[in-house]
Amino acid sequence: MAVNKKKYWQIFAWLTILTALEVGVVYVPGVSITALVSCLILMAIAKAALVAYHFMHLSHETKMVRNGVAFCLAIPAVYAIALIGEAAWRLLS
Amino acid sequence: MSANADSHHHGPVDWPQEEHVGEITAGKLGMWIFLLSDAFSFSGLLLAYGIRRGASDMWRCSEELFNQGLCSWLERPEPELGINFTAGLTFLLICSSVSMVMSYAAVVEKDMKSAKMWLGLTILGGALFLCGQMQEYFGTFAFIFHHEGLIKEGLIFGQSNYATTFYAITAFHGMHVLTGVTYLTVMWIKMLKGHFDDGNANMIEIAGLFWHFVDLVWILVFTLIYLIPL
Repeated sequence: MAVNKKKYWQIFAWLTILTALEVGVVYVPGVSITALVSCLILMAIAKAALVAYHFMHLSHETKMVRNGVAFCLAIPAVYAIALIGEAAWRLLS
Repeated sequence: MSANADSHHHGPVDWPQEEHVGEITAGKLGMWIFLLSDAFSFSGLLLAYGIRRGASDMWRCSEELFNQGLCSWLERPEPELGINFTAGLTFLLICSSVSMVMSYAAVVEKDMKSAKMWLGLTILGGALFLCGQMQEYFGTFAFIFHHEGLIKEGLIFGQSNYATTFYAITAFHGMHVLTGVTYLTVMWIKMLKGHFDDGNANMIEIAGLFWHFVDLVWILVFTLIYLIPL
């Protein structure tokens, strides 16, 4: 498998920038909780995806392997969304 | 018998192309299956944390709530988690992830001197992370950080959902880091003995998958446990 060291350093830079942004955004005053939590979770997912796709070499794998991993990881995410939805429905009803 | 089935074969593995999984080796596929099962374990813990936190009227017994007498079962208020210190630990794991891929790249390029250095740095990063976690829990290095640790500050496992979910999730992750450091140390010893001198990086890549998974999980734990405001 060919290695692209420049790409690895670019991913490292992105991970560092996103981590700094995550920590920074927590200290920004006046941001609503919903916006803050959404922003933090999106940045965390972006970081996790960068690690899985580039450092764990999912980018080099076949579509079947990539989709298999994504499908398995989507199961708890879908469950979490269902639970959040159910909690929100209980609060609103 | 194919060349791949020969357990004494140390040269670059010429794995046959397969329609669905490409040239992925059996070891790598096995590690992926293990990691997905491990991801379900972490998901279970994180979902339980989310459910408990979402259903809770009062998550952390802060000093203000304690003084109002709202947490009478506690002897003292519960401390806040240190975001800046843990952000440093997060950066440490990110650094160790990049040193892991650099070690893998060096093995592929047969630059064994660099490979040994990068893998050694990865192990060091993991060991420092564990030291950081010991400091966070027990204040082991209080003479450097001037922080007596969460346990001495009153965050005790079992006393509240806040404390219990925190220790259950971060300690479970810490066990993974310890496993990863041990696993990588074995790989490093193999490397020192010349096991990967032929450029076959398959075992290093498999070990790297585990290490990157540990980093990936920490990214989520850091956000969900430490950063989401109380």
